[in-house]
Amino acid sequence: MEILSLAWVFFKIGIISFGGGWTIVGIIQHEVVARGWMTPKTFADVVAIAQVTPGPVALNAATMVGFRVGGLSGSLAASLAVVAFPMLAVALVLILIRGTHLDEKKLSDAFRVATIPLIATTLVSLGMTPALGWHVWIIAAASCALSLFTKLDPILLILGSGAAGALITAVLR
Amino acid sequence: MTAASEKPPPTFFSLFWTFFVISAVTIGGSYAIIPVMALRFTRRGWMDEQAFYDLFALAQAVPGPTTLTTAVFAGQRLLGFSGAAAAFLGIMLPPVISILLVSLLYSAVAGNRIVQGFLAGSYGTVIGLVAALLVRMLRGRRWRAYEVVLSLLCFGALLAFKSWALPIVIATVILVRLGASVWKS
Repeated sequence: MEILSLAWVFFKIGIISFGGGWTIVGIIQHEVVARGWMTPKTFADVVAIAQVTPGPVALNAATMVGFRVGGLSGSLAASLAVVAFPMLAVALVLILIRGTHLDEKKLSDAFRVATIPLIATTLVSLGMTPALGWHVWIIAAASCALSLFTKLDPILLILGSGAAGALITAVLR
Repeated sequence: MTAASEKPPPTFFSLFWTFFVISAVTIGGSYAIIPVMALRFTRRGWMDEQAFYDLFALAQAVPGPTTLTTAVFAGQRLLGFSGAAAAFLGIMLPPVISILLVSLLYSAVAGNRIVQGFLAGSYGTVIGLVAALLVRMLRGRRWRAYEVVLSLLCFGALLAFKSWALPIVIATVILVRLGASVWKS
């Protein structure tokens, strides 16, 4: 039964996963924590790991949550479920654009407006993780500024702040 | 005869392998991975850059990871259904395999202080990057009044009723679309 609810939860999440993975991480956190599948702390680890491993964040998070809940079959169920609706949508678009000219720009513009509240929700969910150290907030503020005002590669940022986090933990505690 | 047409056309395996390698070595989301894909495709003479970025734009109108949807559109364009299947498998397998390995590892090292410190530091950057993304998206468009109102309503509704995210978001998309038609007339 756990596998079925995993698949159903991630299928639903897949439907609203437009505009890049960060739109749905907040919703995934809510679903996963409310169902008691993970603590907010473990989910924070999942998010950090999902970002430093290859692949889309949402897919990685789904695979990892699935593994924790239902082992190998859980991870396959969650990862396939999260891309099931997107693949249906791709098929539909391919059929639609065969004949007529789809007004894809107007539609994607409407989606883009809805993307912004979803990303804001993700930001709130990420920030509400309990027991984040003070240094996490300093790193967050610095990363935000560096990302906005420099052309630094996000990967370097993530790995560098990981190293800084490890160093701070080793020195201070 | 151009140089491009003398290069071998894509096959199921060459497409699969191209996507597999790109998916396996590129960390950091679609904005890092898409230019790499475009480069490989144009070098192999499979598709010109403009055609590829048109598919990328189309992929952004569809839900799901943009990397995956762009790849599937490109695979389908080149080789029909088997091309789409090659793209799907090539993009999906590396992250799923690596996450399975990492998940096994995680249980072993989750208690380690240094690992925890590293993850906490990376998590801080994730928060910062999402905040920066939000700032860019807010700045990146010219807001109409009804869009601001609908976005704020959607945000409030999402915070209050996260379990209802799907209907809330669908309703917002429909209302924004309706708003756009009313605005014009």
